[in-house]
Amino acid sequence: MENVPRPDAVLNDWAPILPIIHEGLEKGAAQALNFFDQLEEGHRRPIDPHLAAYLTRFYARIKLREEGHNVENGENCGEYKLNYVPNCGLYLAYKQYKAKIFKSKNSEVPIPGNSISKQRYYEQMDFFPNLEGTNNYWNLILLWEVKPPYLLDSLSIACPQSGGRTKNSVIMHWHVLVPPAYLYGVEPSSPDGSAPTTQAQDIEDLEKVTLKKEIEVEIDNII
Amino acid sequence: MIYGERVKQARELIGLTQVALAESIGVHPSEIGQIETGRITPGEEVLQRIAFRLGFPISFFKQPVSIEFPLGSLLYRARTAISKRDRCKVYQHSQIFYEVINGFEKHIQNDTPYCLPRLDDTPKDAAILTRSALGLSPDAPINNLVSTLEKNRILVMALPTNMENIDAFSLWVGDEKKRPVIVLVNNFAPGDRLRWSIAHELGHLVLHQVMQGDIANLEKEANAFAGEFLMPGDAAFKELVPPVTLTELMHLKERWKMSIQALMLRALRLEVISSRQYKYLMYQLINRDWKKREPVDIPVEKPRFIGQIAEILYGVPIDYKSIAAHTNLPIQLIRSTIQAHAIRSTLSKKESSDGGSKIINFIKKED
Repeated sequence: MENVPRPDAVLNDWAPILPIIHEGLEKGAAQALNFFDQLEEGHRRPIDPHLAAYLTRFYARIKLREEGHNVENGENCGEYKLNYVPNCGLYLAYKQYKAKIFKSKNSEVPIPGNSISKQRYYEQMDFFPNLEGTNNYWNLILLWEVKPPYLLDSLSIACPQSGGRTKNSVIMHWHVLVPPAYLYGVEPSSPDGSAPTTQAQDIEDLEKVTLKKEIEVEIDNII
Repeated sequence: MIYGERVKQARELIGLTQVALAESIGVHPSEIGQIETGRITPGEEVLQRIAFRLGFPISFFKQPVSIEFPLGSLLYRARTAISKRDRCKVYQHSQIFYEVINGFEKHIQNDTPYCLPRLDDTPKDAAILTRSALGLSPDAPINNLVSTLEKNRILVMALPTNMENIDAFSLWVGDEKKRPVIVLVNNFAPGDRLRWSIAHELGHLVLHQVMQGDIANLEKEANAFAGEFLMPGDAAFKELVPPVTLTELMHLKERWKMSIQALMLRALRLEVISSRQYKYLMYQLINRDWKKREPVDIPVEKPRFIGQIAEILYGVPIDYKSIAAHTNLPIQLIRSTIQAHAIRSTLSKKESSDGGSKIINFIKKED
């Protein structure tokens, strides 16, 4: 097997699309929460975790389709490829990586269980022949996590090595939290409180302000 | 003959109490009070000690105060956000500097009419009318708020101060109180916060010519004005589409140059989001550590008018020494205050002669 890609290299390669994925999942989770809020009339209903996760993926998928390209239609004009997976699964390919997007709890990577396709995916074996150049892809797992009531909390990325029916069988080459700078595309303001100001080259004069002609030469007392 | 009010101005500007000044120059505190109210005139030696301690030339104390400069919206913050000492400091600094500007303007031709209306409408209607009066689109973001105000002859003064709980205050100045003035007093405020504060003060100028009623209510009205002025309701309904997320607000912050928290409040006030959704957004804001440090820096808009007239009269780079001589003020005070505005002094001589074609070299009177 080739050298496993380093997490920082993966983050840098995926930097252009991580904010889009994050925004999609954030919007999806907000839509899901909104759905359950609207059902509630006077008394609190528990959020169905399966439906909420489905709704999140459903709306995130809409966002990802808007921003990128869906390979289902056989077109090829977007920056990344969003593949079809039953039950509204999210699976996309970008540069030399493929990533399945799963919901996580307590920062744990889901167990493939009896799913042969998932097990093969975790073992870095090719399963989806409909993705072009699939042999050169590394399989990654993007994990999203919510915190109560149902707000997107974090996004992490993992490079799987193996996975079977048990928790112990799930082994990752690495698993890192995506830093905020990769999620929002911007850093928070400078910590010292200094704010950017008008630059000298941006100074624009007011047009109707000039020196009075009759007193162009003499000033000796202002106040 | 000196004017006691000038002693009070200089003393309060540097933040000294009467007692502290009296102790430092070796006189009884009541003497300072009497000097300031004009009941007694200090002897030459005491005057020299006062001038030395306060750092002002003696000539400063010999010129009368000729400007009517009310406290304006500083009155609203009398006991809440700002200490008496700080209030006096920014007030005296503003008054002295306004006199300087007023003096500059006697030598300047300015054909721009005064455009700011005084209205008795609801904050929302007043904001819509004010946008129209200032020549702004009814539903587009304001690119440069300070420049827009200056182009409509609203004087925006910046002080080189760092007040923690107050960013700006406003007042109508001059004969018949026809000159609207906004004074910026927090040099460290981020651009989005400063724009909100300026719009808030604009609301006071437009709506509250007479300070009547509950202060909290006046502040609420000024905030409602600021929200509608910076992001008109019709535009907000188009752009704040529920469910609103922090990432979307981050993009809107860049476009409308309003803080994420101000946009959240705007969405709440317009009932685009419920109070529960507002709470969710606030949870996330705190969770991401954005409450005190939001992402997306909005540049601070520095006022240009004062820098421009100083350059017209005193060249580029500005000859601060001559201004200090003409105004009888300490050069440090003049320099730091003018440098709080947008000036070309940082440009090289070649750049300023190429790019600053409007600048006329001032020919000083020969002694």
